[in-house]
Amino acid sequence: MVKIKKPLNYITYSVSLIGASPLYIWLNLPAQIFLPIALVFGFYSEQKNRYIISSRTATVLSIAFFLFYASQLSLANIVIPVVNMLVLLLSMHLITEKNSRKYLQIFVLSLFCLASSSVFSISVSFFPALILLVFGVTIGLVLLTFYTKEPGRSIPAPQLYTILKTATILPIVSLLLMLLFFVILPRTEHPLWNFLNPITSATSGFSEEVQPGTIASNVAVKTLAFRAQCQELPPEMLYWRGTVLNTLNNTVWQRADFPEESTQVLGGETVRCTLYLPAKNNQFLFTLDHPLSLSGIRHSASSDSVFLASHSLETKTGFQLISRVGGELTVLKPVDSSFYLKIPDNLSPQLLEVAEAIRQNSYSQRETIALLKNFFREQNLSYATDDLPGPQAPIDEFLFTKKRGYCEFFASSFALLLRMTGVPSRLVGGYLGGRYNNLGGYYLITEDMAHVWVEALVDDQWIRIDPTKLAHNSSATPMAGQRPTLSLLQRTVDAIDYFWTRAVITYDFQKQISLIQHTGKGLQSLQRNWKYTVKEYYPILWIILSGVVIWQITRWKTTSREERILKRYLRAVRRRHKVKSIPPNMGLNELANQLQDPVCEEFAHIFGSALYSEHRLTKGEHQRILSLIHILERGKKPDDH
Amino acid sequence: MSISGILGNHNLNGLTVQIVPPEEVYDGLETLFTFRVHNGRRLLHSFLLELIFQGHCSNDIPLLMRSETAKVSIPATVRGRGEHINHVVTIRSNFPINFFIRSRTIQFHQPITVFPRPLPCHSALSEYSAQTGQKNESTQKGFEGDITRIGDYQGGEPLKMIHWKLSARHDSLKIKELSSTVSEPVEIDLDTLPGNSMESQICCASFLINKFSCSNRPVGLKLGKTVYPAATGRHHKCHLLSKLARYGQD
Repeated sequence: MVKIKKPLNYITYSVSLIGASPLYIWLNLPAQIFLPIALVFGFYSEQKNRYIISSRTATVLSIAFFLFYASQLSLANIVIPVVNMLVLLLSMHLITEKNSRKYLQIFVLSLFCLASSSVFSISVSFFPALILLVFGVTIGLVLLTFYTKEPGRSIPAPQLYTILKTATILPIVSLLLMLLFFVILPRTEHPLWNFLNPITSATSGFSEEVQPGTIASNVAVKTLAFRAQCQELPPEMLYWRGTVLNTLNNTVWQRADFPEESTQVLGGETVRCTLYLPAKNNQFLFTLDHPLSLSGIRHSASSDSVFLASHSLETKTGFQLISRVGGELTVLKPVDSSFYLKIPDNLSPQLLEVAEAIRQNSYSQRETIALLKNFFREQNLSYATDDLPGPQAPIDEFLFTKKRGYCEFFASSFALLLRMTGVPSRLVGGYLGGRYNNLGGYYLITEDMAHVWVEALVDDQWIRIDPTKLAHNSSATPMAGQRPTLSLLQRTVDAIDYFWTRAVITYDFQKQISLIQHTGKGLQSLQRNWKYTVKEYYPILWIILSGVVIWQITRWKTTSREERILKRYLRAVRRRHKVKSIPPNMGLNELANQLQDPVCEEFAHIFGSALYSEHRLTKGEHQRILSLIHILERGKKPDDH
Repeated sequence: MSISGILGNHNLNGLTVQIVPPEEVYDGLETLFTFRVHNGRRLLHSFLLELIFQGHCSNDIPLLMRSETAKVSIPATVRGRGEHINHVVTIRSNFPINFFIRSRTIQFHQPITVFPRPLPCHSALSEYSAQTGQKNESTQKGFEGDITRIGDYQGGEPLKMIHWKLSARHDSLKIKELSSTVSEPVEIDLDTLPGNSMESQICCASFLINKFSCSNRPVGLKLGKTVYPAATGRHHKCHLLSKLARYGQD
């Protein structure tokens, strides 16, 4: 015998653990300390049936916690006090003696905890936690029903097993329905609870302006920048365009309003991509250079191929992109090149001297670029992320003294010298490269791949120049595409997270619309090509047919011959005598007497005598009974037979 | 919530109920009725079933496996003597989740004879008792009279009948065989019983039949012109009481 309280406690504590765990890292210290204590001591108290805190003390403490966190509530600070309050209330319930109402409250608080964790992050771990919680809470509620009826009830272990097995129907069907509702229930285009989200902190890596020399060392962080689902491409093609910095203020490259230009991408290979961006506090939509069009998100596009989302990307987002890889960005109308030639006034004599030398020795813009590249090579510059030039004269220090720096130094100094030698230029900020995950068929782009390169306007074409490749150690830099590959485990974990984002997080109203459209089109084409497609469905039809046959055979096997005869007889009687229903406890003789049918009387006599003497029908009896049923079914009178 | 509703509804499907009435049911007196609940479903079991009969609720059946039968008892009071054919039993359950209680009313036909309520009428009792005081010994074996003979223990006799002293002297157990006493038969005439209505006379007759049957006195009954000869035994008592129950209702 098992006390019903025992499995109920196991489920209750598991549910609390699952519900509160995803929230744990976001809690304040008191809640972080109190939750595990409550879980451990509460469980121990239940085993020993001795409680550390009385219900009255717990109520006083709960009110005190409530008042403390309620006093911290404000419009700007809602989530943190509320989640701490939730967890402390849950802990109080766990550590004290429980009745059925408290068990129910624990289940509800656990659900609230998991739900509130989604305000902070809907990572892939949310999904298994949700499934486990649905299982735990529903099975727990069923056990609670037994507990409420009789708290001290004990049940034999096989019976408990049967109860648990039946209770499992609830979560399984609920989860299937949840899946259906997830797909069909209408969604808003913007998450309703977005205003509760804490503002995402800025990440290092991609930045909206370039200011070399502001940091002494650049630590690469491997946090996710975005994922791009597309075919595998050569590494040198993977320039992910984010922003264009067209103005140089002293040493800072920024994006400013620029003269309108009309451009077109010519040549190259068309590549279709779907990008999945994590939550960010900016609006940049990254594109594979050079982008043609973008869909699936509200955005604005500039003529310098920079795409910005209409609203800040505070939740995970996905969009589709068509790019022309290896294409040329051609300017269709003359551009006001003076905008891209503006340079600061306080340039060093050394820089001016270099620019002057190059200008005198070149006869065309292309030659200027070639000479400048040569100058970079001659300077023997090295790619480095530490011991970087300082903020006073970063470009001079980079080119002439320290001769080390990362992509921002290379790109900003190259673009500056291009402008000084009369070649219109700008910086492009984004990412270079990506780790291809063949499990998911996508590129994983992390913040350490952030990159800056140069675009120079030569002969009405914006030419991409990547000065970082001019470093003498360029082949050993991460930019050369020689990134350590991810292990199978890392790739698998990342692929799961990717599919979660793709299938769940970025599933929105637009995808619902497209799903309906696709279903409609699919049905239309199915009608058109019915004759051709029906053959494709033969295997499915066979499976369904086999299933029906197996089911029928199983039914046949599980019912006795007598049961089948009786069922057939009653059906025939109902039809023959137009009786709507026959009470289940009505005897055969009683039925025959009421109907005053000699066929029924004979049937009752033969069948009843076999049934009550508990012997199987003889062959003769069986045949006679079948013929009687046949008479009833055909509607003949017994005399006809 | 909807799934729990469907499961809860299904929990009460395919159940049949049958009353197993006690041998003696008296009008207005609380009696313990037994109910057989059968789960006729082939796939699902039923949980936490409770039966309500005449406003009284049974203990719950925590689990009724498919194709199995369980028994529950409900103390209930039936009003009105005679044949009761139509019965209403409500079967309810709060399974699977204790937010709602679902119930189903089952109506079925099963004849139960409710005997008249035995109302003490001591004047009639003393009158009938006065008709005879002596007890005649019968030739049959009994448990009250004198020792008629000593016999061998057969295995079914009560321990108090064993003659320990004699048994100690012999190799086998010996028992005392006593004679039984039979009292003078009494015939109860309904029309002569005290009472200001037929119902009170019937109640008095019911009381007397019970009283005399308890004292093992042969009792007969005269209902109008019909006479039921005197006899003893529980079966005879029930026979008389059932006749009495139906009297005036046919």
